[in-house]
Amino acid sequence: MDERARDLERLYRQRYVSFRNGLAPVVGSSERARDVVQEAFARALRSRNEFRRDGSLEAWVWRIAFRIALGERRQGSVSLLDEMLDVGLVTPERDPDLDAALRALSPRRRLIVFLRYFADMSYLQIAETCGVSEGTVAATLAQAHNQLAEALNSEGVRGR
Amino acid sequence: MTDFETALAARFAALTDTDDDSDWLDVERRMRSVKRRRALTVSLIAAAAALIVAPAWALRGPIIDFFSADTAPAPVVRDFGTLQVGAPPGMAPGVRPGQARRVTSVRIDGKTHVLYVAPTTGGGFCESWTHAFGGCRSTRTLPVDQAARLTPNRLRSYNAMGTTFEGNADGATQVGGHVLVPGSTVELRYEDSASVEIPYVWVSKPIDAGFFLHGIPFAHRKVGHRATALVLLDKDGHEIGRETFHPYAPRDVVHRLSNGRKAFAPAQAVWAKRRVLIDFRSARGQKITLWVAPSRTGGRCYWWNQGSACLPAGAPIVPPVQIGLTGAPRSVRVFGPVAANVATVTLNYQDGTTDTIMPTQGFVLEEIPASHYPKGHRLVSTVGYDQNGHVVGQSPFQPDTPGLYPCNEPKSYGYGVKQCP
Repeated sequence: MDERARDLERLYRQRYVSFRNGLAPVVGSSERARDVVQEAFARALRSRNEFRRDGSLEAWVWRIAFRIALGERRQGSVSLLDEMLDVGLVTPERDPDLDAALRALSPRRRLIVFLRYFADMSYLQIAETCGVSEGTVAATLAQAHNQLAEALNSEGVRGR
Repeated sequence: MTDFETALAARFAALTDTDDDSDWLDVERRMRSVKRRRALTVSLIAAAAALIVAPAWALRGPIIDFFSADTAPAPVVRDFGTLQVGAPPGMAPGVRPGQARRVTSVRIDGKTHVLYVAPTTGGGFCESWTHAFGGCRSTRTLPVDQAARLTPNRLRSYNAMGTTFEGNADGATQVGGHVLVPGSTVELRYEDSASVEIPYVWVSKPIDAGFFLHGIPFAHRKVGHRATALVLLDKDGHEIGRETFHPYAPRDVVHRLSNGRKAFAPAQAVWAKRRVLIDFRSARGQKITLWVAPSRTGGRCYWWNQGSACLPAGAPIVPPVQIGLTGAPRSVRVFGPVAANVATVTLNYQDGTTDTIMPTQGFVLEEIPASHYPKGHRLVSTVGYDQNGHVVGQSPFQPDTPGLYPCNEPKSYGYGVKQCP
């Protein structure tokens, strides 16, 4: 096994759950998300020599994963944030208030919130994955936080 | 991170699935499967007239190279080690815990089950599905003396497959097991005459067996549609193994006693007619109680702190002394039914001392004194005598079984297993 394959395996073992959880809101279920993650890493492994070091390996795999999740319709030149993804909680009934607050966000803000909290991604990772600047991520996330705080503070933000 | 972000993160975390059902081998398989398909396409173009027949066994599911599979994590190695070092002398399966491998995973009813296997010194293997079941086949075929006790059909089935199932009163909910015949087909049959082939993962030598775990669809958990049998067919479609399923009646029912404690009584027991047969406090102050009650199907049911069962009506107790030794973290007890003609039972220790006790209406329940916990002083047998002092039957014990007697300093047996010697 070559060095790149080993890097991919290491990434998979460290970040599998984050990948699956980050993709579940996009594809609608953990089971489908798991399949996407498996397929994404298989493709990455197969195409590992095509990886250019113009970003992190993780962001590259994330882009492959999103391409699979979106049924190949996404083109590389288009930012993920421009895809108008209709992501949502997989189990909205477990926290209806949060679900309602998230649904009130624009698809762009919602996607970044999901990547931040479900996929456990840093601002830089989100930026690389979505093909935008880190500043754009920070600004979008700040706007999303403000909107969520306004929506949720009436009933109190609390961990459940 | 602001307070709001922290609270929001906690809220998301509560909705997060933390179950790790990752499977790197599956990723590699997916990568290779495309390569194989591509290679096959090229072959077909190059030799269009050639008939390509895949080996039948390759069609039943993926094949895992044992030595390329991920090694099992330490807790699994320790569990396999427990099978080896925790068994009474002569009964250990011969498992090699250090060679345990992670084979595959399946998801049933929202829960991920991971399969681990490890070879045994006798050419068999131990298997363990997380959150499901596990077991060992220490040798591939039954020893001659044990084989002689089975009918030819049962023996043929045993030598071809091993199955287990989980279920409830409505029938089986999941089935699993292993097959030993390459190229064979596992077929699950239902009451409504429907059937489905169950794929299995074949693991290469030294395991050399296929493994499966299958969740019964909800549509087949209803009367008239339930699973009835797992059938193993050879390459020619001939039946070489069969395991039938019966609706599973819950063995024990939980009752709440007047003191607030729970009692686990056999479902067949007539609870209203229960009575206390033996009742005492252990040396450490624990209340030990044996209850009996008539069975709804005739016979007698019993339950105590560490077990329960029902004895059929009119059937003699064979062998006449069925006393077992149950170890606990802090105490050891003997318990079991004895035949009606057993008047006294002696407990014989390694140091030559004995205790004599009298059964209570066909039962023995006694705590072993702490003075008999150290090696050299432990119980070696219980012997039942009739009224005339003749031996009726006996139960031997292995005094050196690890993990049975309490101790102050557990010993390391390797593989991360620590037990009292």
